[in-house]
Amino acid sequence: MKQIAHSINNWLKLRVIEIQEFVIFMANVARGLYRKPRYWHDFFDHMDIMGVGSIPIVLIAGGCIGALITLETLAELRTFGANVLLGKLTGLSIIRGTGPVFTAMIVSTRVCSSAAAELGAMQVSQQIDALVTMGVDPFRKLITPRIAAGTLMFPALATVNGIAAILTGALVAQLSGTMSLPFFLNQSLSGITPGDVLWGLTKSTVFGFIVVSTACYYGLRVQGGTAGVRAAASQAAVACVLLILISNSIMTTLVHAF
Amino acid sequence: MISLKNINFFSDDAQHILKNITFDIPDAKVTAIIGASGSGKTTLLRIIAGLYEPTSGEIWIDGQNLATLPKTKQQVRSKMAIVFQHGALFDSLTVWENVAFPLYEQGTMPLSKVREEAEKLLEMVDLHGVADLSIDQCSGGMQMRIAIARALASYPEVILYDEPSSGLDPIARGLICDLIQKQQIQQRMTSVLVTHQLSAAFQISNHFIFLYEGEIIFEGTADELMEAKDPYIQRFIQPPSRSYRTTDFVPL
Repeated sequence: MKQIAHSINNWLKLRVIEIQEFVIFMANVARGLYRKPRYWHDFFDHMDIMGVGSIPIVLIAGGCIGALITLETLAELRTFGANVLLGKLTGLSIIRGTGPVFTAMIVSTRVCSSAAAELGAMQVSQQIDALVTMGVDPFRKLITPRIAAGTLMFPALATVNGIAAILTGALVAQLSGTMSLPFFLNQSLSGITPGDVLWGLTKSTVFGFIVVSTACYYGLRVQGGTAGVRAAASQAAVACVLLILISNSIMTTLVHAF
Repeated sequence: MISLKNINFFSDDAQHILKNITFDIPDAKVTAIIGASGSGKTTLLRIIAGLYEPTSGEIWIDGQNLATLPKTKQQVRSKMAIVFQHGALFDSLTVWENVAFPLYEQGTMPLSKVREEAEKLLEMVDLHGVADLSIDQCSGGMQMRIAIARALASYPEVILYDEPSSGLDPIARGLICDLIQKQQIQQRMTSVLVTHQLSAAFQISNHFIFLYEGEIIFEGTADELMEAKDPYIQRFIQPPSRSYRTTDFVPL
């Protein structure tokens, strides 16, 4: 019993230390935002890698999600004879809920482990130490541009995903003979308010920030060679997915509570 | 001159890595810090470079105590450059971009001149026609020379070498040693060389510090080192005796 209590105590201590480290890490990132030099070239590079590079998978995922939600919603609506609501429900579901979450999860599989592994490899091969000895702040050069790019690109990708999902949903509705493509689109768009769009974009922005900062945090604390890099990449990927789901639950609960 | 006074360093797991390290690094000479693996050589070099803070003790550079000068610390450190073991080159950049990196960061040179300057530095380390190669296209010896060129790009007064010839074949090792010697003679640069390879240390160093389990057990010249009575130093500097005879081998 004592051993279990001791293990739990140790586990909790480690988590508290991790939280402390993460707070210090974020303070360094925030400092990098307000101080010069600013690495615009790196910022645009990361926007290209995370954003433009993720468009194909986001489009494919959006298409699949749109088709799936339309078919599942249609099956339920048919039982109530409420097929006419298909466009509205599908659009709302994509913009407020599934779109931002699925986009974040899909993009995080690409961005999270690669950022953690890249930074981890730089740490292991002393490239980060080399930066420090040249008077370059690694937070300003490597972390701040990544987090800023991710925070901006996630909502943009969620928008692309949403458009792809709604268009695919409309196509499915047309092909299934439920309603015409323009009718579905018209219904979807009329059912979505600016508040819904803002909510979806806010969630995506939060997810972007969480995913990239988590990946960078795990990448920078790599120790112990290639095994450390491998561990950091997998820990970062798991943490990103869990944090997306947890933060989504918290945000949705808060919005519905107030 | 760099002076280290009573430097102690404890690792995160409370191991006493460096114990009361006190010595001076003379200007315009090559100081070799030698010792077996795990004796604290690299930790000491990283403390001099500012990558680790000593647990206690003082580092004085040109009469300034770094601990009492936090604002000018970076300026004082900017007189130093370090060549890491295996180079620590940025593998996402080409050869010339690596060399030009400190020049970009300093921002003191027009961008149009940066490439020209990087190519000059590459020629200084006897590398020609490699500017546009990526780092993974270069051999270990070439990577080390690129790392030296990158260190020289910040025009340092002190250059720190962490095992520069480790993992290289004898020819590449000789080239690196010649290069360090050339820089020291031509530019009167202060160099600190961390190595466990005595041949390299004897070829280029004038001043020796011998570390054993985090303590200095010898400081002096090459001749004094050869005559040191300490049995550990004796064992370290003596070539291993051949414990086999050629007749022990079975012809294939």
